Amino acid sequence: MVELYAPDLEDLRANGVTVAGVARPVHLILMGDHSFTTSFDGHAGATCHFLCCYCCCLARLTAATKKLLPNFADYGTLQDGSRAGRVPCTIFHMSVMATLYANGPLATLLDPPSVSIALSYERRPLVVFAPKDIVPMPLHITSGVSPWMLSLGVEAVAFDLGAARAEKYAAALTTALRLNVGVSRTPYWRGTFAGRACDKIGRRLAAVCDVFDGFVPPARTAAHRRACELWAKLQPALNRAATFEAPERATFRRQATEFVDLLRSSFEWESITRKLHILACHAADWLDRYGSLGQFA
Amino acid sequence: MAVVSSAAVAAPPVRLQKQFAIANNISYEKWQRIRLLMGGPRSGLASASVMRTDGQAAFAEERNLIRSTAQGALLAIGRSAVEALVADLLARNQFIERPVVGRPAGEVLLSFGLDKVGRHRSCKEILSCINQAQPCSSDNTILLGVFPCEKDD
Repeated sequence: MVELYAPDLEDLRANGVTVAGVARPVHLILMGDHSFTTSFDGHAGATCHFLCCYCCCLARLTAATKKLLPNFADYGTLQDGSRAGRVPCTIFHMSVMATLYANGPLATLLDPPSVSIALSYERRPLVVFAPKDIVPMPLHITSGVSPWMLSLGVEAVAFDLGAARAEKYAAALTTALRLNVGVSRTPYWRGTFAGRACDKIGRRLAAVCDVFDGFVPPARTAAHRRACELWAKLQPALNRAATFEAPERATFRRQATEFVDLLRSSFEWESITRKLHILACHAADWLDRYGSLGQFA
Repeated sequence: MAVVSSAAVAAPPVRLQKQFAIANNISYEKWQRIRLLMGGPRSGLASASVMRTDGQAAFAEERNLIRSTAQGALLAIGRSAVEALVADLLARNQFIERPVVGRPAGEVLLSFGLDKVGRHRSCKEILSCINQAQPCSSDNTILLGVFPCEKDD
């Protein structure tokens, strides 16, 4: 369906718009979830080696990946936390992919390029967008991380004290969410939280911490409370349609880095997801360039 | 105490009434009943026939033209819709310049994206003009097309 718009979008970007007889240039950006942006720019999707469209970090270091990419250390992985975005993707690479796949996707090429050249791009981009013009999905980070923080608590109790105790914590958490936070699950998307409920959870994570404190050892409690505090501070920058000044942007960068690195160091079983990676490594760059994230959510 | 004719002050333009009726899914029949209940012509509300005529004129405008394909329904000329939106923002003095580091000044910032709200399994292609307050509010975006989906997520 998107291919129906590709010529129109190219035309808008190339020729701008004319308003009241005055020509104005257009700066076009791409906004959407991971599935949409990857299908738009020809990326292989969430299960490939290089799953970030902003940098060349690897999803995970497996034996097969190490064998395929001898210089794997240069790229880094998502699990490196804030140190993952070492090799940025460029518009030059996107242009090369557009040329390479002009006559057909990767599967049809007689002499396919290696993984380190294709970087998990397998089709011609419908419209070539520079990685810095792809919105780092602030809405999806908010709606993904807020419910994930609740799961993190349950996993922490299960990790420290076992499944039976985790079940009791989950029951207590459910009551607290309904009565103290005031949110309920959606009847779709497998019954998760959506929309404003995610914002509300983020704002009232202190109520979740109060329940959590009664279940786990103090060391875990301190890390969990700090993670919740950091997420509560990060969330306004992600969902407020406001322009942020330089000091606030610097604070966001520092807190995003600290948040993801804290998760990595204090909750050792957890994997850094793509949303957390974007939050730690790329969201602050967007904020510096455009001054806002919430205007694009 | 100043006395102002309430009907004259309250009467909004026909196009605005039409937009209100569409946004709230009010049929012409229901609209006519509301109008009669509020005093008929003295209410300042347009009659159903006037609304229908204005609606036909609005849908015939270049910026509102729709075409349907096997995949879904979409705006025929997206450029006209963008130009109309920017012209409207400028006319209402609500166009906000948003400078971007490393880009020339005076650009119109447009974002192309996907929205999946609504009751039915469909996805909506949208175009937002970022040079306004609340650019991603559904009231402020251009709906480029609606396409049925096979599943919800």
